[in-house]
This record gives sequence, C-alpha cells and structure tokens, in this order.
Amino acid sequence: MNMKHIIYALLIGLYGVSNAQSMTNYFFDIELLDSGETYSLRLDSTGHAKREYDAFVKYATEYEANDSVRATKWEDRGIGIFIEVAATPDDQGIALSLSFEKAEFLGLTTHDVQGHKVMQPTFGSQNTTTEIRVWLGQWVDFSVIKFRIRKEDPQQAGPGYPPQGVGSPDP
Amino acid sequence: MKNMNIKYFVTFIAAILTSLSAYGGDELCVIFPDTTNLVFTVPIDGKTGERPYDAFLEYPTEYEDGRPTKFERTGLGYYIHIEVIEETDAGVLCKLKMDHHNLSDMIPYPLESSVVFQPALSSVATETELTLPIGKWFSLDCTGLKGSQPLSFQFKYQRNEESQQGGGEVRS
Repeated sequence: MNMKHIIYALLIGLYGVSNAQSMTNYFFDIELLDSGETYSLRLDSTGHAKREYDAFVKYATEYEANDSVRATKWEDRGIGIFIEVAATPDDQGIALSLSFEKAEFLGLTTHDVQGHKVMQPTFGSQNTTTEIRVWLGQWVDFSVIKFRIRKEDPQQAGPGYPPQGVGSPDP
Repeated sequence: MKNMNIKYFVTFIAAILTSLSAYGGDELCVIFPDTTNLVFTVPIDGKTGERPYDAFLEYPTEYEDGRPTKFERTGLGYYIHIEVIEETDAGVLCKLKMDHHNLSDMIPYPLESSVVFQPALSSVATETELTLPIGKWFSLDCTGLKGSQPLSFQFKYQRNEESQQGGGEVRS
C-alpha cells in the first residue's frame, strides 16, 4: 500500500515537472487593438512572464505645511506597458491569469495645500485583470486588447514575432 | 560717556537683529512663463530658499538581455532655488535657478525582439545672477523660446514686513 502511494506521488511529481518543462517554448502574444502595438513574452518553465512598466513617476501623496510645504509621503506609479501572465496547462486547455495595463502620464495639475501651490500628476489607464481558460493558439478578444498563447515555431529561432505599429521615432 | 556706550551698543544689537530678520523672513515670488495666474512663493531661510520638484521620473537608461540594468532619475514639475549673495542699494543680488520640467511623451524604441518606451522630456529653465528690487516685480525675458512670443520669468523679492501672505497666491 505504501509503495503504491510512493509511486502515485512520483507519477504526480513527474507529471508536474513535465508540464512545467512544456511551457518553456511557449509565448504570450498581446495586441493593443487601438494602436496595433504587439508584444510577445516568452514564458518561463513555470508558465510565468512579466513585462515591467517602462518608467515610474514618484510623487508626493501627503504634505506638511506651515511657512512652506514639504512632502512627507511618496508613492510610485508605473507608466507605459505592464503585462504579467501565468499559464498553467491542464486536460481542458490552458488556465491563463493575465494582468495588463497601459498607463499614461497626462500632466501635472495645481492643487492648494493650506495656501501653498503643489502640483499633482494625473494618469490615464487602460487595464484589465482576468482569469480565463484558452486553447493553444486561440486569440481571445477583449475590448481594447486581444491575446493568445502559442508555441514557438520550430522553424524560427527566438521569439519571431516582430513588433508592429512601433519603431524608431521620426527624425 | 557711559550712556553713549550703551546707546551705541543698543544700536549695534538692533542693527544685527534687523539684518538677521531681513534675510530670515524674506520670500521670493516667481511666475514661470505660460503660467500667468500661478505664483510660487518660496520662503528664504537664512540665505537660501528652495521649492523642490513636484514629482520624479525614474526610467531605464541601459538594458541587458531586454531587461533594464541602469536607471536615471529626473525631476518633474517646478523647481526654484534662490541664494542671496548680498544686499545693495539697488536691491538684493541673488543666484537663481528655475526649472519647469515636463514629461512630454513616451517614445517607443525596438529593443531586441521587444519594444521599450523612453521618456521625452521638455524643460524651460534658467540659471542666473540678478539684482532684484525689493517689493517690485522684475521680469526676465527669454526671447525665441516659443516663436515670436517672449517668454518671461517674473520675480518679486519680498520683505516679510511688507506681506504676511502664505505660499500660494493666484493672480487674476
């Protein structure tokens, strides 16, 4: 009986390892429908991939004011594109957990803190956080984005998914 | 003779106190170009006063294997620094540093198989030594910055006894 349990546990472990390894050559593609920008992220062995924000704005959220005004608390806000995805294959397809944001810095607006003028940033954001089950290669349309999980094309080395709609800025 | 000495001593102390209060309670009012209704008031503590940037931007400047390895930090918003050098009959000679730094855009650049966005920053800035008259607005014109419209910084060196107002003042 004990031997049966050990074998069973080993089989589960081996199945898990083989599943994890199977994600190494997979990619997550996402396209922003309004701009046509496309990003491809290579998944790691656990099915995880992350694209960090392009920059961070550090701004004051609390102030201390008397003769002058002094910031006492700061916060960081990412701007640009953020993507984090976790994919877990199973018998019914791929369970996908996605967090996406396109955050923009819109400018600084004036606020009054006890008679002192301070400027606070304003941000614009398109974002979604979702958990969904997909099939390999299936495009899923959301309102502003579409995405899929695909396996690396053995004919093409590397990510092989050139970005569209972006490039070098005009001179 | 003794009374005369006391009189001189009292006058001397009064002169020192006046001199200290002249710097300690002074303020610099600044209007940046294109912000005609926004006046920043910077208290001068000792001989210096500073209004720090409103926010900071941190962005990568170097990448390795598609990942950022080095970051830079730059101020956003309005920055004002004043250092009082000396007071003359014409006013107060000071060293001024002004900067209005703005994040104009994020520009996409291809990086290996991906795309990264880099900030495009714009700035209206000046660093100068000026003698500012006390209690009067002084305009520093910078032509050619925005077409034919002269852009000007405006300064007012304010003695505390002339005004007790707070840090912000909106001109109509």
